[in-house]
Amino acid sequence: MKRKINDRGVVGFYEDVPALLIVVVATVIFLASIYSAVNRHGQRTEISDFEREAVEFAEGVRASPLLLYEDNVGQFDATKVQYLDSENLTLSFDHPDFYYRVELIDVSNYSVKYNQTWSREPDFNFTEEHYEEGRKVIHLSVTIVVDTDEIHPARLRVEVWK
Amino acid sequence: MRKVLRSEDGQSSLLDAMIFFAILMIGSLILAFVPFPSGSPETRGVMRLYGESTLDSYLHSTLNRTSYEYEDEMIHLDDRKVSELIVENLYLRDNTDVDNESLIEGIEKPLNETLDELIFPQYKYDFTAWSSGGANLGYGHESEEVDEEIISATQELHTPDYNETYTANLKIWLR
Repeated sequence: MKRKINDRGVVGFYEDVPALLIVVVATVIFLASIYSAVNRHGQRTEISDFEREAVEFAEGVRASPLLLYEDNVGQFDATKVQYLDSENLTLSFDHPDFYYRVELIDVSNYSVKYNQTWSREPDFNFTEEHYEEGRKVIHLSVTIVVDTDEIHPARLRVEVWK
Repeated sequence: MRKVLRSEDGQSSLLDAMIFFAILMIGSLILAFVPFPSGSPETRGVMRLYGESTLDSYLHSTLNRTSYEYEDEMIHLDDRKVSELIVENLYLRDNTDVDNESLIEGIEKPLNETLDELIFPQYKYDFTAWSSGGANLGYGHESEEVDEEIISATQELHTPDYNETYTANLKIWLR
């Protein structure tokens, strides 16, 4: 086949180079924004997972058989509250992969209070800055049953961090 | 000298590239501002759990000493559940001529103080209880928040013989 050559053709080189540059720049910016969005989504998912873990732990403490009075969720037995130690609470959760501090604050108007703190904390002398980013605090309320005539209202503060 | 021919029949690849660029920039902007679910610890589910557990714990706890005056005699109510005290308070308001000041000072004030202590300082609350007869009691803070930011929990209370029903409602929101 005979090829026709004349002056009417379009010489594209000087036009295609800037066009190609624009396409490359646009593609790079777009890929960078996709990477950033995926990264942010990953971080959020990680935070949500940890938050869910923290809530499950707090609910687990509120329903722990080691503390409950007659298996009623949210009602702690005063005797169990006094004698439960942190090690046994940690064991009952099968050594969770996070640190925690559970504070039970008796707010009743009775003279005897059943305040208690259970915790699993790192050995080193840590400060708040060590865990500020991953820290989750869950607030709940419970009652502490001394006997059927004396039931103390109490705050349950569950703090969890990695 | 060669004559340069110009015509409108051709298509510029530069124009195509500009359109491509504009489309990808719009896409990048959308990706940059796409909202992701918040990782805040105070999600609505956690707050709802807190509101419900607080109302439940409050109503089931007991107060060691409350009282009111009736016909020049002091009636002492020791180790009574909050739910019983609320029912008694509303019943007295509905059906007797007990001095309201005596009820406020002897029953409602300790009830309010207990709830105030129970709720964490990060929250504000508004507690109300009412009877079908029209009596009601309430304490807490004025709500300045929109409804979406308030968690509300409700429980029904009964007289021991289940003849009358009372309603208790607790609203909480972050300060």
